[in-house]
Order: sequence, then structure tokens, then C-alpha cells
Amino acid sequence: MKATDILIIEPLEDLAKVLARAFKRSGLSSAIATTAQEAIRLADEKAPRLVVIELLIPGHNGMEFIHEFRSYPEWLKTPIILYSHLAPEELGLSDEAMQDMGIAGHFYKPTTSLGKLVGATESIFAREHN
Amino acid sequence: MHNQPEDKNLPSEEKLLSALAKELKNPLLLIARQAELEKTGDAAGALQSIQKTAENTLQLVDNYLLAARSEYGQHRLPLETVGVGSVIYEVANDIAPYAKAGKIDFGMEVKDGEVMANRKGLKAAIRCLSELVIAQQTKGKDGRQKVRIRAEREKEIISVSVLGSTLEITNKDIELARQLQGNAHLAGGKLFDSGVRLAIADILAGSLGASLQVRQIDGLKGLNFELARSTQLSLV
Repeated sequence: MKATDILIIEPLEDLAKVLARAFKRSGLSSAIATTAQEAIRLADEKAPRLVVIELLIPGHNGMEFIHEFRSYPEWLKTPIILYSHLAPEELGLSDEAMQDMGIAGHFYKPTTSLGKLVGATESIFAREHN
Repeated sequence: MHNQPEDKNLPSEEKLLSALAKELKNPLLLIARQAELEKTGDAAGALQSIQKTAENTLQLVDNYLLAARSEYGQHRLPLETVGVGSVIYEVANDIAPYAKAGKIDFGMEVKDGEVMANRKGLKAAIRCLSELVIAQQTKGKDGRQKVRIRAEREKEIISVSVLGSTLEITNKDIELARQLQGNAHLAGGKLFDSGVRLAIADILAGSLGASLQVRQIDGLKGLNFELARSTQLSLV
């Protein structure tokens, strides 16, 4: 099975589809999950190389999801990008804590263009190659 | 801590507005990103305009939420050492396309210095003032209008101003916007489409310990607030 490049965990499905199209233009495949349960199932099925997640998932705490995700040995090192309506100061995590959790970047939705988000994922994949 | 901040301290009318503002963020974000994705070919110009309008409105909604939370003590804006020049540079970068669209001679003049402030709050206040001053230049004026974002070091303060060739707002209007807040448009006239931005900027400046005022510098008229330099604060 060929691994999917990116697992997009985004409750707003229309926005998730826009992100998926933007990634596709850069040659990156993606799968979309709109709930935490679906995300775990898709992570298992698609073995993503990177996760892009909105922390505000209905009925779920995004950070709890990340801890759960990290509890599986096969997903221990999968880089995670936060793409969220939560600003860094609202998240209240230090750079060190983010690093410890394997969070490769935090992008505040209202001010992050698609170009910037796609560029960040490409940089992570490029670092993986080197 | 990782859920969307609740607005339990807000008065009931602000709670509804705050909920509405949050509700508006997703559709605005979707419009902006969809337009960004599709802007190729013949429709590129129109889609660029749609993207910028949606991003600008999204920013206004975000700035309102920040001001509402700071005003009612919901979200104390943490202070940090902030380089005023870098904040002005970011705002100028965001705002330049709107000024260009209005054929405005836009620029910044910065004598940099550090202040103790909240970076996001400071940026939001300067952005609101810039949008307001730019909007005032484009109302049927003849000739090329000028807008400058300016920071000056004056002894132990940094004075931040957004100035334009034309500004109809007076210190009395600032006081009126303060009283009317979200209903500033009801005052009509000069505050009709500037009142909300003026009120947000005033609340945010207040949360940084500053007060908004009208100022005239080098033949330009604009809105100004003063922040204590961090060197002074460190001595206190």
C-alpha cells in the first residue's frame, strides 16, 4: 500500500477539500477526516507521512487527540502541523513543549495563506529526504 | 486551555455578537482560501479582490474578538517586549494592496524602539487605524492622497501615528465612538463606516495603557497613541 502524504483533520469539510486540492497541485496526496474517530481510522488505513490538524474538533479536544495519536508506536514520529483558529497565545504551549510533541509548525488560520501552508509541508518533506 | 475561548465574562449583548463573529470566521476563511486556489486565468483579478476582501473582513472580525475579550477582562493581553518597527512593517505589508487599489501614496516612517506591549493587540490597533485612515482618503477627494504609518521616539515614549492627507475625525468623535462602541455607525456622518474600527482601535490602545488622540504632523492629520519605551519600564 502506498502511503498517503498528508492526513487533513479539519471539521469544515469544504475547507478540507480546498486544502486537499492545494496539496494535490504540489503533487502531494491527502486524505480528509472531519472527526477524531475518522482520523484514527484513516491514519491506520492510509499511513500518512504528515498530519495537518485543526485543534477545534467538535466534541473533542485536539490536544487530547494528538496525545492519543502519539500513543501508537507507528505514529510516534509522524510530523504534525497545527492549522487552527487558535492563536499561539491561546494554545499556551512553549516551543519546547511543541517540539516534544512532534509539532512541526503552528499556523494561525486567518493569516495563513494556502501558499504558506503548502510551502511548510514541502519543507518538512524535503528535510525528510535529506 | 485548548478549546475555543469562551466568552462567559461578556455582557449578554456582547456574547451574541461574539458568537456571531466566531460563526463568521469559517465562511470568510473558506471564501478567502477558495479564491486563492482558483485565481488563475481571466478571473484572477476578481478572485484576488474577493480573497483580499474576505481576508480583510476576517481580520476585522478577529480584531473585534480580541478587543471584546480584552475589554471585559476575558483575555488579558500578555505583555512582552515588542519592536514597534517590525509590527508597523507587518501592518504596512498587509495594508499596502488596499492603499494601492485606492491610488494612495502609502508608506511608513519609523524610528524604531521597543515597548512593553502585546504584539497581537498592537498590530490589530495599528491595522484598524490604517484601514480607517485609508478609507477616509478615498471618499471623493481630488488629487493623490497620502497615508503614512509613523513611529517616533520622544524621550521615554514611542509615539505611533497613522496619518493621512484628509481626516474628518476629531477628538470629540473619538469620545463619541467610545460612548457608542459597536453602535458608532448610528452617529452617521464621519463615524458611519469608521466607527467600528475606531472603537476597536481605541479599546486595544486602552488595553495597552495608551489613549487614542487626533494629531497633526508635517501637514498630515491622523490618529495617534503613545506607548512607554521598555527601557523606561525596566527602570521602574
